[in-house]
Amino acid sequence: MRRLFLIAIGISLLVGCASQKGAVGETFPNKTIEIIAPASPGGGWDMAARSSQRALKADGTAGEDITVINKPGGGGEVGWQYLNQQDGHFAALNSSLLITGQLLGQSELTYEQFTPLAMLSTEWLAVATKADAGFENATELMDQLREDPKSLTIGVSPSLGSGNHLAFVQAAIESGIDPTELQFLVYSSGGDIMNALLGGHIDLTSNSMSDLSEQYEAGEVEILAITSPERLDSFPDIPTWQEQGVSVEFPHWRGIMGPPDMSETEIAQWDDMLSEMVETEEWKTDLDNNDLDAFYMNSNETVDFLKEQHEFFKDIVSESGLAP
Amino acid sequence: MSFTIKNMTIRKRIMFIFLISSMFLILILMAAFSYIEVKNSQERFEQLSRQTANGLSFMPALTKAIKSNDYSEIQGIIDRVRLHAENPIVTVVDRDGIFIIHPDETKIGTSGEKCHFTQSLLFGSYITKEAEGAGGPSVMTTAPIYEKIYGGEQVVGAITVEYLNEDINATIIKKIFRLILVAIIGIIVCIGSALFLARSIQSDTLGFEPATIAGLFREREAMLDAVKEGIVVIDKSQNISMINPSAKKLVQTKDEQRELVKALGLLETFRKGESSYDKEQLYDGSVLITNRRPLYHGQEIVGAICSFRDKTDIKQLQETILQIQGYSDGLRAQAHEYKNKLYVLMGLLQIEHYDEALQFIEEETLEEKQAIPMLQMIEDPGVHAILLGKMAKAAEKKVTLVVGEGSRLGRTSITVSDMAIMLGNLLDNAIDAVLHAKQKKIEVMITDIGSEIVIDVQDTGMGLNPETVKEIFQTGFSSKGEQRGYGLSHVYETAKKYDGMVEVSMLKVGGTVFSLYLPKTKGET
Repeated sequence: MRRLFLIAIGISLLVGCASQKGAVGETFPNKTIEIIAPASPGGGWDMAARSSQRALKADGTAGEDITVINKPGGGGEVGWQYLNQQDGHFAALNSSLLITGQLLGQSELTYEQFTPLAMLSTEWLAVATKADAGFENATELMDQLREDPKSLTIGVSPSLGSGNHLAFVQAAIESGIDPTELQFLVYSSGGDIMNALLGGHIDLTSNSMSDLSEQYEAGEVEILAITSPERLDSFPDIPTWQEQGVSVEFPHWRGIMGPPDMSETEIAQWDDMLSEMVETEEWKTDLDNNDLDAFYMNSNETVDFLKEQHEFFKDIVSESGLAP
Repeated sequence: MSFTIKNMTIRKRIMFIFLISSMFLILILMAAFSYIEVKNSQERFEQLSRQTANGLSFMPALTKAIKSNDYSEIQGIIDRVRLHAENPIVTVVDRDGIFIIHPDETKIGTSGEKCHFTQSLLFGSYITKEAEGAGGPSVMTTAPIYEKIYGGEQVVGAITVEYLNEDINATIIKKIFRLILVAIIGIIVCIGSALFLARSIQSDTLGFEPATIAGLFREREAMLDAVKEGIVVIDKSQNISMINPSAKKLVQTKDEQRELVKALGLLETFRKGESSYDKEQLYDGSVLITNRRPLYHGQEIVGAICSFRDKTDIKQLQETILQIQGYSDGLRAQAHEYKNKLYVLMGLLQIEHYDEALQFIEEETLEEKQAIPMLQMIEDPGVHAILLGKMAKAAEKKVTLVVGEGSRLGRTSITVSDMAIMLGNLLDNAIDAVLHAKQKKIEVMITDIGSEIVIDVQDTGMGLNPETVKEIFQTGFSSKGEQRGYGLSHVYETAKKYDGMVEVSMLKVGGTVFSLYLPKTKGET
């Protein structure tokens, strides 16, 4: 008799829990959605976060208020650790640093710890020299580096191991150059690099198109190669690495992810919101203004893409002589 | 195991168990501690190497030294830092992976194994790992050394701080040895306390082994059970601490027990601390012969013991024997008298005085006729025998004992010995009562009409003192002097046993009637 009673209680509790969970799922999101920019205001992540905020608000699918919080520090790690302790109403911007940080022993976090929600945008990375440096194309540049890897100083930002840095390391490996011989100089931002390049402190830079486009259009710098698989519509004169015989395709992507253990409904809801968002005029305008390309993938595709990128970066790291 | 443990003395057993359990505990604790210590040390040294490497890599002096190729100053700094950080091995390579600081001076200037440093040199990684370092397998952290140049930073070298596994292990082992020392002290304390415990137990058990005590206890129990004497022991608080089955028969409730203790005089013995032997004490109508002793523990009285036996039992037995002896005496006397009469008869016949002989026979048979026909009506052989015996005794003392007319008694189930106590005593008393009277006659009336056997014994004696009538059935009362007086109380007690009663009444003409009423039914069941 007593056992029956206990079973009855158990069942009623279970039913209660189930219905409660269902109720939450149906009304998700039911409070303000917060987008974490794991950087200080003004950077690429901050910009992406604020573009998303604008576009999501304009679209209105979410039906709740949307805010952006900045959690700068540790190459994204501070923001991501913060996300780790939140619920499905939180999401954070990410980039290849999420993967390389761990591969290069700079971070304990792995991409597998989070719930991928979407890929948002990408920008392509280019190699630029001062306009009067005298290199006709990337082949000439790589030939000289193969001859004497220390003859040129390469500026990268914001750190060694960043996309900018890795893109050039990959190009060097593909061109038969020992990347450990190369002279890299690290700057904290793209603006500093441009100053150093124009001031003659560095000979070339591997940087994003958004940082280079202004001086390129002003004719101050020459862009020798870009990591996109095909020439960009906006810069049809810039040749790709691939057409110059170097097998490099390197998107500098930005995506968005949620905390661990999100429910199916929450993921589906985010998929709805984000797929609607990338179709808005606000989003497209922001991409154009920042020299970014659309790179939307839904949550499922993002899971696969991140796996693929993980393998890709692992290869670069091992080929650069770390694990012979 | 249990077999061998059982065979050990209590001291050895305690030692054995203490030792095993303390060793077991200490071993478990040691294992847990060692495991945690190994884990912690690993982590601690990883952290230490990371902090030291990072700290050193940020020193401008280090960058300066690398650029200027002057290592004497930086070597001094590094040595000082090493002193504060458990003496790690510190190696530094320049941008090209050439050792510029190395504990083995011959290595300086040679190229280090590049892959150790590549990740730091190329990607600026801070890496902590377990690997083969400059001095062997170790926990090591490699950190890049940056130089500020043209507003940017360039990697100019890398530093590795490593702790040899063997050094880490040595510190762990040192700690564990210290722990073993403490453990040994713990075990010694355990053995000490085990010895103390064993000794204190042994002092409680007077040095006997528990098995011996159990044996002694069993024997004592058996002995106490076996003796017919009652034994009662009281403790300090004057409660019964031991009472054997014989004594228990007397008392059922707690109140009765207290009563018994008081009656036995144990409290007095306890108070005075004096032994006493063969003292008679009265309890519930019985006389108990008691032996009492106080129990001492050192100088202090901790209790008292009493052994006793029921004097009534002994007396009863004695009396039964006396009664039976009386019958045989009576019968012998009768036989003797009969023989005498035969001699008289033979003499008369020899001298041919036939008339006198005939007259003599007539006289004799007349006397017998008075009693004998009535005696024939008593079918119960016990009562019959008792009457016969007492008649003989009475005749010897010139007392006429007659069975009243109309007496009759069927067979009863009352035992002869009980009947002897009741009837025999009443008759004896009657005989004694009329010994000095003028008229020496006793008449016994026995009837069993109805549900009761009624026995009246009427004497022609002096009667009783009215003041003592009430007490005559109590133990110890006697008109015949000390150490007597159990007769009537026995009659009373025995009659009670058969749910009967005994009454006494005095006749106005003189003399006393004792009436004994015994229900038939009680005897039949």
